Amino acid sequence: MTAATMTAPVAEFNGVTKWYGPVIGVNDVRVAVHAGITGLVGTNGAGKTTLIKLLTGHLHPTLGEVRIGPHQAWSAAAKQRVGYCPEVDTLYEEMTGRTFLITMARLHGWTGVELRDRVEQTLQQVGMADRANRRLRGCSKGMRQRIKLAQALIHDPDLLVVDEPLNGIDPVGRLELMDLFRALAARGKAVLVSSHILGEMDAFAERVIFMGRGRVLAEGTLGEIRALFADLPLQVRVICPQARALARELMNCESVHGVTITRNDELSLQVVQAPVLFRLLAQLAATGDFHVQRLETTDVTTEATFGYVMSAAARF
Amino acid sequence: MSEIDSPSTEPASSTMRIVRACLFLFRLTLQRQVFSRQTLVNLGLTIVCGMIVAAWSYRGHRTAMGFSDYMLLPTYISFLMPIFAISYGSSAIGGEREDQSLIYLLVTPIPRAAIYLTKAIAVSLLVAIWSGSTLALLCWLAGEPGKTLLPIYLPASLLAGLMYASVFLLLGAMFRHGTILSLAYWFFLEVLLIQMPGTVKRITVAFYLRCMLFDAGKTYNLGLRTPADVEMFAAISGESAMWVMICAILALTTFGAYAFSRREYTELG
Repeated sequence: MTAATMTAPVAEFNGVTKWYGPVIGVNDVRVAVHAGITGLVGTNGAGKTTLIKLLTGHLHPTLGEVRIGPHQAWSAAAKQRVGYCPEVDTLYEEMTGRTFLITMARLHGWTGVELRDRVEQTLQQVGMADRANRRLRGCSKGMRQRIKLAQALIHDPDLLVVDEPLNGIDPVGRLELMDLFRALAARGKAVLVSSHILGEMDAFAERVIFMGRGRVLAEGTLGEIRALFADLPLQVRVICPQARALARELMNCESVHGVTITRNDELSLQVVQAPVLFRLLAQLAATGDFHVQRLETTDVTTEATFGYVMSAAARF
Repeated sequence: MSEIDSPSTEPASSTMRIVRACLFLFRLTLQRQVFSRQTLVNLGLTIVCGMIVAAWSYRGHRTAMGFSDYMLLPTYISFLMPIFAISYGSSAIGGEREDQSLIYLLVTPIPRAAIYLTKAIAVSLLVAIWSGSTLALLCWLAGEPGKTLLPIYLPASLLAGLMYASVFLLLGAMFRHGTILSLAYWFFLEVLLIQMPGTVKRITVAFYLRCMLFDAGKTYNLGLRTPADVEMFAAISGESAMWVMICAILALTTFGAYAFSRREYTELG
């Protein structure tokens, strides 16, 4: 059990099913969102958007309940605890970024000095303090994305739900946003990020929820989810100048199912019992004959794990 | 991006914050509606109708009855007033829904029913101001007949304006493309149905508006000149028509607030 799961969940889905007429959106979803950054991953039509809309109180569950702390997600009280940055690129176009944030702060009931402080703090957070006086209709997509994020943070919510936050953001901006999410998580906030950019999910998501066909297929840290596929060989990459000699040694090890020499100094291994391999490599390195420069698993990534999860789901 | 600090001060109590948020929403709705294309269209149409009335007022032998029959009923009652109500009523929620900015209201802690009621009050105020001031302008341009008819037309047109606004606000909140639906409703139900004999026209706003107007304008022989007119519009007294409209406004607004608080806007987000 990780530190995140030991704390009380910020939001919970208890047996939630949502039908759109004859079409099912999500089916018997039981999942909790804890403090920290959680990635929401799934193919198109997997139910991510429905899950987000249920969480942000835009949809009623047909069955079950969605709770934000002690409140039903649909209730007005729950909205005080949730910040939502939608994917849709719409704002009050006639306003400037600052005016829009002031408007949103007022709609959350803030006034006076509180409001001004909150608006300026939030603009600082999203890196828009010096550009917030531009009209929104003239802003770039990246700036609009930051303003959307700012409106979600304006009331200091416990849970931030962000739908495709990295779309249209330049690489530097992406790093800044990831830092922002990490800073929020460090303050004990929960951040749920839905994104198609799986590579970047690795960089900031502590936990991942994989969705498919309206169900939660797997949930946990990438390591926890990867461990569910113990029968699948783990992909390990080793950088070592003595790659060929090392390959010869490793082929004698029973836990190594496959060895590929990918470059003169690089091996790709398929391993079933990783601890056995790691002990062997430690012994070989200790002999001084092998200079292992780098050792890493290559399939404990969101993308690879998602592939395993989807393959497993397809078998049912 | 900077590190994050918690808000330095404790926010006010939840109820107080929601009241303040509603007051701000009222102001925001007025501001966004007033500075909109709808206002320009309304202004343009009012100027055109004002010019028509001004041209009419240069004719000789102007009577209150003639002003009512040839000017106010066709230009103001049947055209301008519903247009004001459609332009502000259907766009207050329907317009925000179509451009997807409604999502920013739905993420606030303001209860949905309160959002609807606040919007309803703001729209009603706008429609009342537009209807009242336009009527006053047309009557002023018409001269003496206008002065005579203003006190007769004002209560009925204000009430009908509010009822139209509550109908169109509801249509905008409940259905996609609320403006088109409101225009269709206005044309097929209000314009065509009111010309038909029988009791089916009693589902229209225009019917109760005319009942109230013609009752108040009996002295000037407004509207009720043929036996058919009498049969159609004298069946309900002005007072009854007034109460029907008041009750309908309250019922439509209450229903709208309830329906809006339950409605799922799946297209938003």
